[in-house]
Amino acid sequence: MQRQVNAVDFWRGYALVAIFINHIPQNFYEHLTHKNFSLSDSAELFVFLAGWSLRHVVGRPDDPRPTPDLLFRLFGRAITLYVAQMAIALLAIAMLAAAALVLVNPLFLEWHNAAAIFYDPVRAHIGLVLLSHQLGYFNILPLYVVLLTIAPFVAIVHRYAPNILLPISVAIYLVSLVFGITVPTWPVDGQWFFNPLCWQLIFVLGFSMSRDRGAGGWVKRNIRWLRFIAAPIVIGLSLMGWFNLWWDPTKVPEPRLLFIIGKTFVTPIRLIQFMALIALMSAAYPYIVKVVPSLVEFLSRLGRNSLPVFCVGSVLSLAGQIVRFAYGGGLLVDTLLVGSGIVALSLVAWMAEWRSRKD
Amino acid sequence: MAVAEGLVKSMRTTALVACLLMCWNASEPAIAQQPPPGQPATGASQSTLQRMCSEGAEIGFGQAQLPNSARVLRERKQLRVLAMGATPLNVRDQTQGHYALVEKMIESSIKGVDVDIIDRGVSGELARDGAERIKTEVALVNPDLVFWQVGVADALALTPAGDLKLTLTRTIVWLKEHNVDIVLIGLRYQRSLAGNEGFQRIRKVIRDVVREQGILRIGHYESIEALDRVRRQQGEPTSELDLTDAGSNCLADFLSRALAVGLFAKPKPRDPFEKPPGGALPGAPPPSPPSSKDPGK
Repeated sequence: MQRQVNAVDFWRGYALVAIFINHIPQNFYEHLTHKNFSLSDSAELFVFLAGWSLRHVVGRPDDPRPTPDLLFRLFGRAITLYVAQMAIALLAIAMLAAAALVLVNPLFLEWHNAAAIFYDPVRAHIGLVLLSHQLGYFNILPLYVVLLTIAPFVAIVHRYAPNILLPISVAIYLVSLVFGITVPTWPVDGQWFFNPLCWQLIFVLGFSMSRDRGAGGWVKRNIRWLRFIAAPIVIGLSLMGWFNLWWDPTKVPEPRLLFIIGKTFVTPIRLIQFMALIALMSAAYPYIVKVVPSLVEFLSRLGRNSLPVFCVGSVLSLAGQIVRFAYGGGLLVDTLLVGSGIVALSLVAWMAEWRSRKD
Repeated sequence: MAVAEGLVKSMRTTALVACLLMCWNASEPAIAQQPPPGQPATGASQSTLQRMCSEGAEIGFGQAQLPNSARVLRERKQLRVLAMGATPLNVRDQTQGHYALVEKMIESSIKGVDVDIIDRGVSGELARDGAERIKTEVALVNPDLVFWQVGVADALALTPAGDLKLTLTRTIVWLKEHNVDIVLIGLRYQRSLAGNEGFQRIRKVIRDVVREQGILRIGHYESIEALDRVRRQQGEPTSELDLTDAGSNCLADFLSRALAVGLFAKPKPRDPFEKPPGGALPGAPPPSPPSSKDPGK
C-alpha cells in the first residue's frame, strides 16, 4: 500500500535531489541548494528524516510492533543498506577505473579516496568491507548503516524507558565533542567524515520528534512559538555566513568543538541551526502543497523510495563529475546533467513503486 | 590486456623506485640521510629516478622559509603538523601510513626532533571546503605547520581559477596571522594533462599564490615532468601509471627535504620557478619552463 503524500517524504525527496546536485561540485545548480544559505545542509535533513521514519517500523504507541519482529526488521534493513553501500562503492570504483582508462588520466584512480583501492588493494578491500575505507561522496550510507545498526537499541530503549533515550544520545554526543572522540579510517589514516557518535543525535532527534509523547509531543504542542525563536536563528546565522562574520575558531574556549562550526562532529551551532530550520520547514510545507502540488507529488515519490533513489543518485553524481571534466562545465552541460539525472531518479522511484504494485 | 601490461610495468617501476630510494644519498648539507650500505644505484635510468626524487623538493623552494616552525623547533624540539587535502598513498611501504614515513624521514633528517603529523585530509575535497576545515582543524590540532595537498580536486571539478586563487590567498594569510607555516603540495604531473588548459591554469594559480605569499611548494610536477622527458629521450617511454607511482614514491622525500631546507637553508638568490640559466635543471636535460605550456601566461 503506497503512502499518501506527506511532509516527511516530500522533504526527503528534496534532500535526495539536493544531495545529488551538491555531489557534482561546481555545477551551476549547486549554488541554488539551501546549503548556500544555511549552516546545515541536506545530509542533516536526510539523517533526521531517517530517524523520523523509524516510527513507521516501531509502530504506534497503542499498537506497537512485537519486539522480535521489530529487531528482525531493523537489522534486516541495516543489512540491506550495507549491501547497497557495497554495490554502489563497487560501481564507483569501476567508473573511476574506466574514466582513468578512457580519458587516459590516472588522477581518476586517486580521486575521492580511491587511491588505496588501486594501489593498496589488499588492505583497502578489507577496509571497504569493514566500512573503514570510504570513497568521497559515498560516505553518507556507511553512517546510515551504523545508525540502522543501533536503531534496534534506540527502539528498545524508547519502548521500555522513553525518557532516557534522548539524554543518553545527548550524553554520547557531548562526550564525543568534549574529548574529540571519533571513528578512525583504515588503511588510509583519518577519521569518518560523518562521525557516527555525533550524527546519532540527529537520528535520535528525528525519531524523538516523530513521537507524540515526550520531547516530540512537547515540540508539537509548542511549535508555534518555537518557530518565532527559530526564524531569527536561521536568518541571523545565514547572514553571518553570507557576510563571513564567523568568530575566530582559535579564540574560542576549550573544549573548542562545543563552539566551532564543523560538519564532521555536527557541532552544537550547526545542530541548533538545523533544528531551527526544521521548525521553519515544517511551517512551509502546507503552503508548498497549495502552490505546487505536482512538485510535492514528484518529490514525495522520490522520498518514498529513498534507498534506490539515493544509490542511483550517488552513482549518477559521480558520472556527472566525470562527464563535466571530460566535456567541460557551463550552464548547458550542467543543465543537461542535472536535468537528466533528476529524470533518472524519478524513473527509479517510479519503477520501484511499479515493482511493488506488481508484487 | 593493455591495462595488465600497464600494471606490470607500473609495479616494475615501483620496485625500481623503491630500490633506488633505499640507496638514495642526499647531497644537501641540511639533510643527513645516509644510504644503506652496499646498495649502489645502477644504470642511467635508475640514476635519473634517484635524482628526480632528490631534486624534486628543491624545485619549489623559492626563498621561502618556515619561520614559525623554526622558532618552535628551537624552543621545544617538537613539531606538530596538520596534513590537509588528499592523503598521499605510500606506494613504497604499505605497512605504514604515508605520513608515518614522512615523520620518520624528517626525524632522521633533523637530529633530536619529534615530529607529529595529524592527517585530517579528505580526498576529493575542493580547496573552498578544505579552507573552511583548515581553520577548524587549526583550532583543534594547534599545529605549527600545515601540509596542504591542493588543486587536483579543483582541476577535476573545473573550479574557476580566480575562485581558487582567492581561497588559497585568504587561507594562507589567515594561517600567517595565526603563526602557522604552510607547505603547499601542488598538482601531480600527468602527461595526458600537460596540454589541458584548465589543469595548467590551476597549476599556474598555485604557483602564483606561492610566489606572492612567499611560502613553500612541493614541486613534484616539475620533477616528474623532467623524469618523463628524460625517459623518453633515453628511448624508455614511461607509462602514465609509472609516472603516478614515481610521484607517490617521491612525495615523502620531497616533503622531508622541503621541511629540512625550509627550516635551515639560507634563502636562494634566484627564483627557482623561473627558467634556470641555460634552461637546465640540475642533472636533467633542458626542460621547457613551466610557462611554455601555460596558456594562462
